[in-house]
Amino acid sequence: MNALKSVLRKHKLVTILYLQELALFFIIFIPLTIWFHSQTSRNYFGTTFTVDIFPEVLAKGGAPVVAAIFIILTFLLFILFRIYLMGGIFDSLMGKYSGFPHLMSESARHFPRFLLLFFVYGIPLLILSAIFSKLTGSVASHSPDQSMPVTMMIINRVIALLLSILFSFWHTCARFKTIISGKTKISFCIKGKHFLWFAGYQIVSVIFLFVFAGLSVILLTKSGTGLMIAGFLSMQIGLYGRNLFKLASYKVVS
Amino acid sequence: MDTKETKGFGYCKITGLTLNGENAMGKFHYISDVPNPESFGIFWKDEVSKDVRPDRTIGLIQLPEPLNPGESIILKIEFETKFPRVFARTGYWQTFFMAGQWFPKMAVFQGEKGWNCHLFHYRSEFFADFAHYKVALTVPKDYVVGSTGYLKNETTTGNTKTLTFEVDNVHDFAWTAWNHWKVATDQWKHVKLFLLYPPGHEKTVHRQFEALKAAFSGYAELCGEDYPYKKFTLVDPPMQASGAGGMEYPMLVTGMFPSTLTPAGIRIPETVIVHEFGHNYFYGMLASNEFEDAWMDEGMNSFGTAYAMNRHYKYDLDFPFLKMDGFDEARMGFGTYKGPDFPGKAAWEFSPGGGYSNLSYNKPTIYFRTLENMLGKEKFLQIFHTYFARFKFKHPAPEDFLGIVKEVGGDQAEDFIRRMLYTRDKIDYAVTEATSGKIPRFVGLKAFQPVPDAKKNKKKDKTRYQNTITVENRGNFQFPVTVVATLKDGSKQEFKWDGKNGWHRFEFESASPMTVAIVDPDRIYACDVSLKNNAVTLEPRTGGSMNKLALTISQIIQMVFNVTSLAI
Repeated sequence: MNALKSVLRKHKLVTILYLQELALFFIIFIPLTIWFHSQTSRNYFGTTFTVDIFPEVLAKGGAPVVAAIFIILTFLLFILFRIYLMGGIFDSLMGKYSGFPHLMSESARHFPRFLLLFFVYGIPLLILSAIFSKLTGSVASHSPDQSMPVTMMIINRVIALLLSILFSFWHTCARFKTIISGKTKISFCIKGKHFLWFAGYQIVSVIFLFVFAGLSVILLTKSGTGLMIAGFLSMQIGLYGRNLFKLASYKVVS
Repeated sequence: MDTKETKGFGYCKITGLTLNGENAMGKFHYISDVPNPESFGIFWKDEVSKDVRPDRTIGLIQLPEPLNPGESIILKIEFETKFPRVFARTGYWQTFFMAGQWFPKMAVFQGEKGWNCHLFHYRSEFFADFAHYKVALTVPKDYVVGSTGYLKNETTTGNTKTLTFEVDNVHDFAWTAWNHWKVATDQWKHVKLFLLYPPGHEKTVHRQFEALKAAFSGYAELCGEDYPYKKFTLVDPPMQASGAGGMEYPMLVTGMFPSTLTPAGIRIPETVIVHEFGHNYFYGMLASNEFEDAWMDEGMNSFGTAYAMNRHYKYDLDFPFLKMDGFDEARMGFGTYKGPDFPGKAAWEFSPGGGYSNLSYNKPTIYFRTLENMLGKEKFLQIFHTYFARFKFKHPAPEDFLGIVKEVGGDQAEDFIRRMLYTRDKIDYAVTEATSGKIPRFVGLKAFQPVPDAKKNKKKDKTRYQNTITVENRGNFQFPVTVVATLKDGSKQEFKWDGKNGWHRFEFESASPMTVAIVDPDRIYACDVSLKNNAVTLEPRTGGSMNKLALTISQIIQMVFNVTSLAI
């Protein structure tokens, strides 16, 4: 729990990480809202909002293609900026938070090495996840029992989560070592107690997010502006909490 | 056929033939083996293309002498069938078998028109005559069998068992066998229902029977008569053999349950079950020619599916934030079609690019729905009741149905359906302009006189608005339509337009400004190809929905990005 307390004391780091997610929300939400409103004003969908909007408006004029390109580009920028931010955040986790400008300069300093580490751990993780997915898929497709695909899907998800945690642990260790040594360092060590705390915080962070996201879905299915705002807030609380526990897991390793 | 030729594929070949007890194999020829096969007039000339040529899917038996009216012969045909790995409709997966189109089928003799039989096309389906079927199946003892017909006898010999099925008045016979089948039973009126489902689908049994019963009730209402047989089998194939799913045979159909996780609000399994059952009416009993007139089974049945689903469930897609019924689906599907075809064509005559499915399924569905709205439910159902009563267990042709539409619904109804079938005529009403503005008050000398306060409020009440609505008929039909103006105070003004002369402008004064002008507000013309232009909104009312949709999509993206960056 010390790690969590420590991160709570440095809550500005959590806020910075969350603000990236909030910025992402607005980058999507604002143009989407403007576009929806422009498509629906002064016609049928301004009167009666029905499912016809999908083929009538959304599926025409190349909108899906433009949206897909926009989302892919946004995703790439999101990942790159997150890798970038992690340099400063990791540095601050090891010492003390010395303000946003310092965090950004440290982020810039560590970015090339952190980007390399991202690929070093990310690519094998993807390959291993694909292999396990193929194996569980094969077991499911050969069984007459139709509940097997569901079982295998759960097993697959659990394996993917465990692999992610394992690779994230190695990735985190490597990033701290890289900051300390000033050189790119690879790590595949597992220290039992640290790993368990790390995994615990990671799992709690995912559960926290899913609980609040679920609540958000429930609220958004109800009508009313108040409930819509509550649904939005629920999701944002989930994301903030997720980042809090995630940083706590990193703090364990520092 | 050698191994190379059949590897991975199935086949059905004739191995023996007797005519009145005498060997007649010499009189049998595959149509691909006879010179100038077109000369027999069995298939249409335009059926032959670069990809489709006379092949071994049609065989000819040349009788030594003509068979005169009232005479009969006895043909005994021996055949060998190898099932393919399930790809579409028929075949095997591991020990699972679904047998459809597995035996040589007699062509349909149509009197002066001769024999009706077509080449095998990618899109077209089947056409056969009603007959008495008696089928004996020998399978391993631990296999469960489901089939067309009634089980008359079962005997066991060693590790195998032989089941004999019989039935009158069907035009096809299908069966399934698997050692993993689980069986559930239920009852609808006089009909014993069987569901064959794979292990793991136990929790779907209730959903499947509910859908099946909804189909029985819905089609009984639409066609005016209950399903006449006493048994019905629904087959829920394993997903590894999903190619066998979603197919119709008399007294047996295959459904499709993609996953045990399919939410209750996604009624794809229900829609498939209802649709395939519906074919027992539109194909099974009203045995139209599926090669030549796909709309008569698929189109009418797609309408029947939407009708039965709507009647029982209301929506096919049913979530608090998203609801859609079968008519919406059909309209949206048809709305995307921009090709040159119309439904009244043989299957192979459709141009590539989705025309066959869209026009055979979607277009008739929404045009029949429009006809129902135009005529009223009672008269509309009378058309289908008459059609079923008159042509059940026969081979109705398009003119048979159109004749009944005219007889019951009148000339306009018949013209509407005929143009749906044989033209690209469409319905598209639009509000092209709507304005609402204050009427300027005349300012005369009296206006300069001092006005007491009490009268000032009265003056406000006298503010009047001049409103105009311009409607356009962008389609090809000239049907009357309703136009409704909604005013800010909630009141409504209704106008009628005969749909003629291309466009019309309504002008009216009101005490409250107009906020919405909408043409065909009750969606009488369910086949209107674009709803987007059916209204002009001066004060949009769906801003909240738009915000919520944008918010939801943005949050989904936020969530996905966050989870994807788990290891960073």
